[in-house]
Amino acid sequence: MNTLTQLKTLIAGELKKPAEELDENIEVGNISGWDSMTHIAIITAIEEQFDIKFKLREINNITNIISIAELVEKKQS
Amino acid sequence: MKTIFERLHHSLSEHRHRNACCIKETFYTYGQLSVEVNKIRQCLRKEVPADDQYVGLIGNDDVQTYAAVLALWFEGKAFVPIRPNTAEDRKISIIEQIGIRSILDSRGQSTFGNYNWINTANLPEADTEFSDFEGGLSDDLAYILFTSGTTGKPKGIPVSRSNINAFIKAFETDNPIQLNEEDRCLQMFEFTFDMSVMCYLLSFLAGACIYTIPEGKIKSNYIFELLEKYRLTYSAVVPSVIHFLRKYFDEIHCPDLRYSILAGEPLHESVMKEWAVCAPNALITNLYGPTENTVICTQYDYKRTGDNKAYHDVLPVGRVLGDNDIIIVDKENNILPPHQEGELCIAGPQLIEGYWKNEEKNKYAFFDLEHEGQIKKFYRTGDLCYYDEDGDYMYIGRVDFQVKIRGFRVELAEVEVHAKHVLKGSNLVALAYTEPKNNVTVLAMAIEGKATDTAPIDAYLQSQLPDYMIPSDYIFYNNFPLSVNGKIDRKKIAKDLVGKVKM
Repeated sequence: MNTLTQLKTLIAGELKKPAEELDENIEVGNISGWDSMTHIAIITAIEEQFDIKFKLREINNITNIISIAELVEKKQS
Repeated sequence: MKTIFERLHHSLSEHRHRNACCIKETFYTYGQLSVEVNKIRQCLRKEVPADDQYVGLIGNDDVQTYAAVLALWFEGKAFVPIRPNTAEDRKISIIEQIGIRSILDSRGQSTFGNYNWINTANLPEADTEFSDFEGGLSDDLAYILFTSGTTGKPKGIPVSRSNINAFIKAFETDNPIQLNEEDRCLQMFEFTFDMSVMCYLLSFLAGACIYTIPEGKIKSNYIFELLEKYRLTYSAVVPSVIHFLRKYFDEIHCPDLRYSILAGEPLHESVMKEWAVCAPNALITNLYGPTENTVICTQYDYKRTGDNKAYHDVLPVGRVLGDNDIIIVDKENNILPPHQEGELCIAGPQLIEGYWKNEEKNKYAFFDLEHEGQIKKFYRTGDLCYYDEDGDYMYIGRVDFQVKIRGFRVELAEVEVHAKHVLKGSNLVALAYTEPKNNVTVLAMAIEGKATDTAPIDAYLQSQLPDYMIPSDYIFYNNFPLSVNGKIDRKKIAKDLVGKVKM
């Protein structure tokens, strides 16, 4: 399973909606259910699952789910 | 002395070429803000009947919404802010309680019901620049806010023009916090939370510039981006924001920040000690006040030398500002001397007349008492406090947080401070809930972080506290549920505890 698919499954779980409904291209703030609270939960869940730690600056640069996948892959390599 | 309305009117023209707001990365000068104010004033005169005193205002993040606040005040009217994404039923409940007929909404189309909806983003240019305006003080209202009622309908808190003027006067007197036209101020609060009034009023009065959080951005993250990118000099946030950023403190360096204001929740000294490093040049201040007493009435300036007063790691709410009259009373309304714990009650020029058409609640929350030779109306804050000989007020907790477990009085903050010691600074809250099956009060602890074995916590607490102060239930959250204002939502946690399936 590639990073993007894993991420979508994990995020879908946090937002309690099917992964197919997530559009990896739209800005995360415009995904319904993605607000200040769920955002923190999602970030924490990603850090745990991929065993990485984001910097605040990196989190601030997140635009859409694709950008998160790129970030995760960069941190893992 | 000029009223704040006169000063606001003056500030708009005096600072015409300076920036007033930065919204979604776009700057608007005071001149541009004035143009919007004028358009809205013209429209109010044409389309809103003179006796329509209370006007609904959808709290969008744009220049028209800030302009609408000023336009309504200059026309002698009050605004009733409504969150844009609130459920329609709640909107209607607020609108109907107040009897609102006209609603200003810069997004226009969200029409429901038979109201006079005015799209403030689509108004014709004003024919003239209005030079006349309502600048006086009176018992006429400036705004009405609603508290989220847990049972039944939300409660209206009507704040008058003289209340808000008295707040600014109290805040500006002998205060180390003095804004000027060079200041760049964070404005992260929704229009429905009165800390927003403080942020934009202080800034507009000084000719400074406010920076807002665009919708779709994650607040706690974006604040940091604003602080850094625009080198903000003033920030006012709820402590939860700093708690969230704590993980990243080693990346945060804001030397430009002059004032770091915290308000709305208990403020912990241990966290401020770390935050002080991130904001090395800022005056860190804890502000306190109930919405019923117009924004803020006490202030404590954090001391970098480490010589701070604190009660179980919670910093004081501090000294009394301006002409506020603050007393500590026991359950029979007897005024207590220094160092005795009781409920903090307030009288004075910032206090509202009473809740909007709610006699039952008013009877409970307000009472008359003779103090300093005068009969005054006092408001019960529900906050448990004491004061010391320096006149600093210490916050202990909510009166209703002082719970009884098996007949013993338990101070939740005390349980928290010991638990924090063993959990090395984890974010946690102690709370009590009523277990519905047996109707007993259970002491519980909610911890932010991975679920762990609670036996070592219990062991440590047992070494420090009597057995009735040991939590009998634990709940873990990756992240604490927060209320709309960003505070830890204790009611939600209590509900989760009741609903939790016992293993």
